Amino acid sequence: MSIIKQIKDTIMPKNTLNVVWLYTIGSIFWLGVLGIAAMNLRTYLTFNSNSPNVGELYYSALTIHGWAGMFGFVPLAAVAVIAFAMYKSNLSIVHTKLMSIFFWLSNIFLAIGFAGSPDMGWYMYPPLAIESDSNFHAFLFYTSPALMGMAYLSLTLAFILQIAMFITLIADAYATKPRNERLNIFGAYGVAFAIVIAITLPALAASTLWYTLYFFAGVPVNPLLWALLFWFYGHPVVYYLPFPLFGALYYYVPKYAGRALFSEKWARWNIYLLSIGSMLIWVHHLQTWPLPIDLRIWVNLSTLILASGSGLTVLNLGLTILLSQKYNWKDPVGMGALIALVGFILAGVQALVLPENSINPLFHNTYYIVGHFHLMIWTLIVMGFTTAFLDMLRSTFGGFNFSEQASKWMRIGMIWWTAPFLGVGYTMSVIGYLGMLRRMIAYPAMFQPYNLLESFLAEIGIPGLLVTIFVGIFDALAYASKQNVFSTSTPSTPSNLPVMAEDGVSKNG
Amino acid sequence: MDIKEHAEEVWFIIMLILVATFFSWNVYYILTGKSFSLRYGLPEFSGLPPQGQEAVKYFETHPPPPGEYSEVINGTLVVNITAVQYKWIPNVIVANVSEPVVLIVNSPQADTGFYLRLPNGLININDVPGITSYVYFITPNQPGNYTWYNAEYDGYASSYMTGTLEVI
Repeated sequence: MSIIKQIKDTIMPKNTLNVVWLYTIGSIFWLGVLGIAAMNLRTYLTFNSNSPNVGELYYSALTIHGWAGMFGFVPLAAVAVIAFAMYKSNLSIVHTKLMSIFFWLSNIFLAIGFAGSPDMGWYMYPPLAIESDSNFHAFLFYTSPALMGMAYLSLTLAFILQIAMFITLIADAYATKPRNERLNIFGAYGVAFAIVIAITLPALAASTLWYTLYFFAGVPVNPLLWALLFWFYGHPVVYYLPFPLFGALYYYVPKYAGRALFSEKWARWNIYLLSIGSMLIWVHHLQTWPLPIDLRIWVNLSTLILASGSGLTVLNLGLTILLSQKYNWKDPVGMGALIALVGFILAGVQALVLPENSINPLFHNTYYIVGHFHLMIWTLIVMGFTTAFLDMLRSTFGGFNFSEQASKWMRIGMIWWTAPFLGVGYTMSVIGYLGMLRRMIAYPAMFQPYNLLESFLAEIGIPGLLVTIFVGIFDALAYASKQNVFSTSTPSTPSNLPVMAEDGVSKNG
Repeated sequence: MDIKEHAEEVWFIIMLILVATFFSWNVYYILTGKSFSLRYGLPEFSGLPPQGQEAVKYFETHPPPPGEYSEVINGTLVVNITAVQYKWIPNVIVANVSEPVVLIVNSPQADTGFYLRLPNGLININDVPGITSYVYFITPNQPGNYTWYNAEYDGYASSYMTGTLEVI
């Protein structure tokens, strides 16, 4: 099989694993965009008194950072993980062509939105997001109502296509589910949360459609209702990736602990708690807003339901590890799953105080929150996704396993990434508690040393992730090259040697 | 019934009971008004204590002369404050030590946030166009200057939207 064919099969996938790779590569692209934007932000934040002229550039980078993360990386990586969960659960993606069309078109529409250089913040609150005057331009380059309307229409289409991705995954999972056979836990989480995404992502499409209608049909935008609608998506989106990754942890942790999951029942019941909780929790982002008490009470309950589900996950996985003879952390996938779990605990602890109405104002809009959710991203999401990514390499190159040397460097890379970023997350939370507000380009001088420390630690940590990913890729490619995977010549290896997993997939599907 | 066989169900139910208990305790405190910060900390008219509500009603029917934004009503300083891109009007509030203060906050142009840290507590509320937000607090018992910030991004110069509470 030639390398050209490999590339072609990834661009226009023909099987489930090809789809996994297309979306993984797409998500890594957006991860790169958001990371580059983030490092620009951090550079500005090392100064405590930037000029107001920095605003345009800083807030463009800030918005691109958020958009690339929430509109690019998260949905694409969620598709990749869910599709991989389906693959591991003997389900297949039948509509591979559709998935390819959705991928390319949605990214083109997203790119049109990005090209306007948005700077209104990732959650696009009105009226700021529809403002274009001497005070502020919501898009630096799209300054006329027609162009702004076009940008929001483009985003709306991108989001509708993303919804279609998840509906396709659900339909294909249903169509290819072996009858009278239970999905494994990874597959069950993947499909369940594809449904949650398909229900909540339309709120985002509706939010940007509302803006489109404002520009093209003069429909007025109510700022409070818009924010409520947006957060119906805006909260669950933070689980789009973590919850399918919970499925991955339920799948990998017992495997590397060498025993069964402590409670398979808890893991399956938990799907209901996490699904219901994630969809009904959104108003807790607006606790400092003028909203009635009834709504606050409700959100307090739904947040607790979700917290109980998350706590149960930790208990279940923790007991699985603690009651095992020996956890195989020397395998990079085992190590990644362990770091993702420990990271989820460390980042989750920070969130315990947040849903309480009376305590929330201490933290709302401060760096405490930024530290909490970024730590969740750096550990559970990035390390969890890396774990799935490394297993994707194994699944793709049949018979492949990481060499001892490569495993060692990947373990080093994971700790090299996680340890400094734990420092960044907790430093952020400390200065947030002390009063450092988010989205500030000028701030009290007492916070400057902390911000320098955060930027410094982030610079130290980034190579760790690159080492992990690239060592994994090169190790897999080195194996593949020996199998003549990328050569057009006749393979010198025995014909029954497992090569690319295309065949694993056809067997699988 | 062998408890070991049903341990998973039992703990799952206990966990849900714990959630329900904690939640009910919260609701009880809120509905009976025992939770000060929930009942009185909201950025709403109903979140003000009775004397604050009376002061606001009086202020609205007897507004200060043009160019002035505050008046003392029955010992409560009431300030009508507006957030625009990119300043607070007024951006200085002068108050006595230990004086009750009510802020009537409007933000007609964009969502903004009023964030003020005082030695005796923190005020952090959001202001939404079309909706008036309210704040109630008592000034510190020592003179001093305290800076408030705009905690919600409302454009390029958000970071420079500050104001000063002068406690004398």
